[in-house]
Amino acid sequence: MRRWLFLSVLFASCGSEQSLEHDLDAINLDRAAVQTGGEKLGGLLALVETEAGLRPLLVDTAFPYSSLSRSDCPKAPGWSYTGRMRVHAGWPQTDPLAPLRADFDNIGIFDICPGPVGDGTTQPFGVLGGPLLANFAVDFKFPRSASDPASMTLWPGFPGSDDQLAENGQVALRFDPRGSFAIAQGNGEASLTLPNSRVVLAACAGPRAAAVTDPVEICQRGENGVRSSGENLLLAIGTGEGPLVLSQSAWERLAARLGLAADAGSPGELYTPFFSPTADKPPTARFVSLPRLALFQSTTDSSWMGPCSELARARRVEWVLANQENGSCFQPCDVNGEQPYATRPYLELGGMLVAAVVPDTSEIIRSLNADVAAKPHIDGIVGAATLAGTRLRIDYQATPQGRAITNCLAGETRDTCFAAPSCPGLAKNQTHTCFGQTWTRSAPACKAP
Amino acid sequence: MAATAITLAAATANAGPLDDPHVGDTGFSGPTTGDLTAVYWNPAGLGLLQGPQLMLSGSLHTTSVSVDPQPGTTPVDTAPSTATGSGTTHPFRSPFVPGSFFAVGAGIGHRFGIAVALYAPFSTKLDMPSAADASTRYHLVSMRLDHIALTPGIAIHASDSIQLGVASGFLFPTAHLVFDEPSQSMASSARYDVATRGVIAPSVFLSAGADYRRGRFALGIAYTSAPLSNGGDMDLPLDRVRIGGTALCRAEHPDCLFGQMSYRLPSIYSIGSSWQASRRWSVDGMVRWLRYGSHDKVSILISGPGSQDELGQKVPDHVVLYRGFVDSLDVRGRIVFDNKHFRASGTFRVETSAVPANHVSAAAIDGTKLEPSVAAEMHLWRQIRLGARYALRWMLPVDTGTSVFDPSAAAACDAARGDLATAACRARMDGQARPSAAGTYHMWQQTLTVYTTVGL
Repeated sequence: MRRWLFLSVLFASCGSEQSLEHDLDAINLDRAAVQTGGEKLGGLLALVETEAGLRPLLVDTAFPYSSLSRSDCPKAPGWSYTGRMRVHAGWPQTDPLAPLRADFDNIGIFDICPGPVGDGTTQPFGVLGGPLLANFAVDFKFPRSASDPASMTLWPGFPGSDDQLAENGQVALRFDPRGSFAIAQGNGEASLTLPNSRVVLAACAGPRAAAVTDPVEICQRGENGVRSSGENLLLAIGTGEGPLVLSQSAWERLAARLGLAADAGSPGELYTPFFSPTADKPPTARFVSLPRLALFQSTTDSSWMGPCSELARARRVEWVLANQENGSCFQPCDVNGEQPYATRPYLELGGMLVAAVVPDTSEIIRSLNADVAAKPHIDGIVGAATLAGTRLRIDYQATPQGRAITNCLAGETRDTCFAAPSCPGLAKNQTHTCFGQTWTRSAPACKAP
Repeated sequence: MAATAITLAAATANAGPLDDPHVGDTGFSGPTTGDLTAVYWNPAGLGLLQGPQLMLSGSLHTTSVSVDPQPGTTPVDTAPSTATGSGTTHPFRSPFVPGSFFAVGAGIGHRFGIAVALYAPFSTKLDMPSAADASTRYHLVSMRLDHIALTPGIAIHASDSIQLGVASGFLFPTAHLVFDEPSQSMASSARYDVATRGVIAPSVFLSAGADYRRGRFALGIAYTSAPLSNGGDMDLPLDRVRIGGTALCRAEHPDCLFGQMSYRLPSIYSIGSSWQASRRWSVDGMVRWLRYGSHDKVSILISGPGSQDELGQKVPDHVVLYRGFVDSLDVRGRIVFDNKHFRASGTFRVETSAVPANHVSAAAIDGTKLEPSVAAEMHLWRQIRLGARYALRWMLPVDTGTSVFDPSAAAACDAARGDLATAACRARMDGQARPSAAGTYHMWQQTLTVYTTVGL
C-alpha cells in the first residue's frame, strides 16, 4: 500500500521523511472553464501559498509529477527540489483568507509552471499531481452546477470490498496505475524516473442509447462483438483537464463508428497543464460533442471482451431483469449453461459531452504514452467536465490493484449519469442489487434456435 | 538444583492500556528464560530447550475502573456522577482469546530450538455502561480490541555461551468499539457501534534476540517490531457498523454500512538478566521499553450507500479518536526459589504510564502502576509440571488536570472553515474536539494464571 510513499520519498529527498498533514474533511475547490467561453466545470483548482501570496494550484490526477514554481509564472522550467506545498481551499477562488487545508512538507516538487488552463486566463503556479495524490484515497465530487464548489477529500483508504460497494450502488473500477517515465534536466545530465500514478480506464465511446423498454435484442453465442456499439478506447482520468480529450486517431475510429466526418467539429483552443506556458501560440483542437461514454475497469482477465461488448452484455442482462415478469430470458451469448455471466461494473456518462480532438503528436498525447515499458496506447483523458454529476473516489491504496469508485450525485438522471455495479451471475434464489433493483434470479436462459 | 531468581525492581515498569504484560508470564519467565515462553520474551531462549515440550496457560484477568468527572465536563450540564467500568477476559471457553498461551517446541541436538506459540500480546476489554449524561460515553461505552499472534520461532547455538533467535509472527486483530459521537454543537450525539467480523488478514511482525550466559550470570536482549505491513498501520475492515438514530440503510439491506479502523501498535525492546545467587536462590531483573509514541489516534472511516448524502453531511463518515500515547517502561524485579520438585517466586513490577495525564480518557486509562505477584510451580509426575500465578495491579489515581479534549474546538474550527493553521482545527484533526475527559481515574486489575508444561 505504501509503494507510492516509498517512491515519492526516494524522489523527494535523501534522509528527510515527507510529512503529509491533512484532515479527513472535504477541501472545497474551484473549477476552470471547460474551454474558452465555456462553463466553469473544468480543471480542479485549489490555492497554494507562494511568496507572492495565494496562487492557483491545479489538482490533476493525470499529471505525472507535482510542481510549484519558486518564482512568478509563466517562466522557463526549472528542476526538482524538496519543498513544501501548503494547500488552501480553492473556493471561492478570490478569497485572500482561504483556509489552509493540507500541508505537505519535504516532498519532491518540480520548479515548473504548468500551462494555463480553462480559457487560458487561469495560470496555475503548480500542480498537485498524481504521484502525490497516490499517497491517499482521494474523494472527488464534481457537481453538475458551476455555482457549487467541487471538492476533494484525502483519506488513507476507502472501506469496503467491491461487492459491498456494489450492493450500495457504487461502481468499483480496477486499474493498474501507469505513467512511470524518465524525465531529464536540460541536456540530460540529471534524470529521474517518475512513479506510476495515472488512473487509466477502458471506455466505450459513443454507444447507442438503450432502455429497458426497448425491444429484446437477440444475441446468439459468439455474437457479443457483433451486437456491441461504440468504439473501444483507453482513457486516463484527468481532474485538471476540462473536456474529454481525444487523440486524432482515436477520434477518426470513433467518427467512423458514429458516421461522422473525421474533420467534424469546430476549431478552438485547448488549454491544459501539459502545454508550455511560454509557447507562442495556444494549442489548437477541434471541439466535438459525444452522446455517451461508458467507463470500465482497465484490468483484464480471460473472460474480458472489451468495454463495448461488456456494455452490450450488461444492457441485455439489465433488460432481462427489468422484464422478468414478462417471461424474459437470458440471451445465449450471455449465459454459461443456465447461469448468466457476471456483468462488469461501469459508469455511463451522457448529456452531450464536450470532446477536444488533438493531434497524436501533441504534447498531451505523447506524455500520456511515455511509459518506460511498452503498454497499450492511451487515447486521451476524461476531464473534470466529463465527470460532472459524479463522485469519483480514487483508491490508490487498494490491493491488489487500485480502484476508482464512482457513483452519480443526487439529481442526476439516467441520461446524464448511470452507475451500474457488477451484477454477478447468480444461482437461482440468490439475491443481489443489480442496476438499481434488488434481483432474485428467476429468469431462465433462452433456448438456442 | 534449585534455580533461583530474584528480581530487582528498578525504577518503573510499564505496559500501557493495549499491552498485556502477563503474556507468557508464569512468574518465572523473562528474556533469559529457556522455555517455550521465549517465543514471546526472547526467541534466543529457545536454544536452551531440551527435548520436545508443550505448554498450556490460561489467565483470568479482571479490570475495574472508576472515573470521577470534573464538574462542567458534560455537554448536558448536570452534576457529573462517578462512572464505573469493568472488563474480564479468560480463555476457558476458547483458546483463541487473550489470556491464553499455547506453545509447542523442541530442542534439537543441543544445536537448535524451534517452537510455535499462540498468544495475545495486545488486548483491551472494558465496558462502561454509563448514564446518558456521563461524559465518558463520548470516549468509550465499550471496547474490545484483541490481537492474537501465531508465532513460530527458531534459535541456534552460536557458541557455548551465546544463543541467537528469531521469530516471525502473524497478528490477527479483532475489534468491537462503541462510543457516542457528538454533533458539532455538542447538543446531540449518535451512538457508533463498529466491529470486525470473522478472521482478518494478519499483519506480520518480527522478533529477534540474543542470550548470553557465563557461570552464574545470564543476559537476554530482544526486539519485537511493530506490525510491518501497511506501513505500520493496523487496518481493520469493519463489516458491522451501526449508527444509532439514523435510517441510512434500506430495510432489505440493513448491513449497508461498513468501515475501516486504523491505528498503530508499539514495538518493544526487552532486556533481562539473571544471577544465580546460590544453589536454590536466584535473582532476575528485566526491563521492557514499549515504543508507544506512534499510537496517537484511532481513525474510523465509514462508507454507505452512494445515493444518499446523509452520511458524511448530517452524520460523520469519519471519526478520529485521540490517544496520544507516549513510550513507557515496564521494570520487574524477581526472586526465585527452586528445588528439584518445587519452585516459587515473588515479583514486583512498576509501570510508567503510556498516557500523559491530560490525555487520559475512558478509552485510554493509564498511570503509574504497581504490581506485586507470586507464583508457584511443582512437578506432578515425571515431565509434567503445574503452576499458578497471581498478580494484583494498582494504578496510582490519575488526575487529568485540564483535559486535552476540548468540546469547543469543533465549532471554533467550523467557524475557521477548517483552517489547519488554527489550534481548534488541529485539535479537531487529531480527534481532540470531543467532550472533556477531565476527572480523576482509578483502576485495579487482578490476574490469576494457571499453566502446565509437559515434556514429550
